[in-house]
Amino acid sequence: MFEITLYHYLVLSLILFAIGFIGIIISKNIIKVLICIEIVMSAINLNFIAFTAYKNYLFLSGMIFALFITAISAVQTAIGLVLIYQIYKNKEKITSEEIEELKG
Amino acid sequence: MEQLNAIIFYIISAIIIFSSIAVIFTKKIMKSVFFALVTFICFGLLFFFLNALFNGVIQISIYGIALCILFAIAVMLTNNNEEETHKIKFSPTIILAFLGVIMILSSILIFLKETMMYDSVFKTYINSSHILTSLDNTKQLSSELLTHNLYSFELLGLYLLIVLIGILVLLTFKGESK
Repeated sequence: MFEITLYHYLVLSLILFAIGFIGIIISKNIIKVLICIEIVMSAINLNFIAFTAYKNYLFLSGMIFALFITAISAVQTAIGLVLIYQIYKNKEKITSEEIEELKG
Repeated sequence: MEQLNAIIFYIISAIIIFSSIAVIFTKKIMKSVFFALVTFICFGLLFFFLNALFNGVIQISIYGIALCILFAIAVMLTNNNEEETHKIKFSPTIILAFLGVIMILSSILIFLKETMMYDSVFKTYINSSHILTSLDNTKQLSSELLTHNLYSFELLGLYLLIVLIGILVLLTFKGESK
């Protein structure tokens, strides 16, 4: 109970991944979808860092991967926000139900 | 000491889970940005807890501060602070999807726990945790980043430059005339 193991971190990251994934599916505002993507990315980072801390402390590859994931997801959020701003300038709406041009 | 660590871990985990659920289900977007800020800062605290000092600082400064400011500016620019119009109806599809996700995740966990992977993955390395202190960790992380992972680090820098140019191009894009 009082010993925090790798299993605790994995369960926590699993729960957060599921919450973020459900948020991506059910949110209709695109900004909220982006926030949920960031939660998913943070859960993945937590997984990597927990594995590194408990398993592979010699090479720290999980922490380096987490750094890369942080940088790339921050960049993709910036691009997403720019795209949202451009869509809003042209269409004046940013809910995924109202933007229908990207339907496949 | 171990009990205190466990209590802190459980408190932080509860805050993260509560605030990440609140991100989804609050109606005002600005409030969900605030809850996202709380979530990302608690993630950083968990990273500190795992002796990943550098990752924790990066998490708090990039996700917790920079990205949340970006989200808030985007909300203000798009004038989108009104309540979200959709109502989440708990239709059978959503409930089934939620149950499906929970069942898949729990079955993966049970599988891991019941098979040999549990012993090899979870139990073997627990005693080897927390060998280094946080400062040693930061030093080692920087040396690993600039020696064994130098090419990927440089590639990441190139990627960031390309994205910067792309964002500038997107911002100068005029779009179709109204």
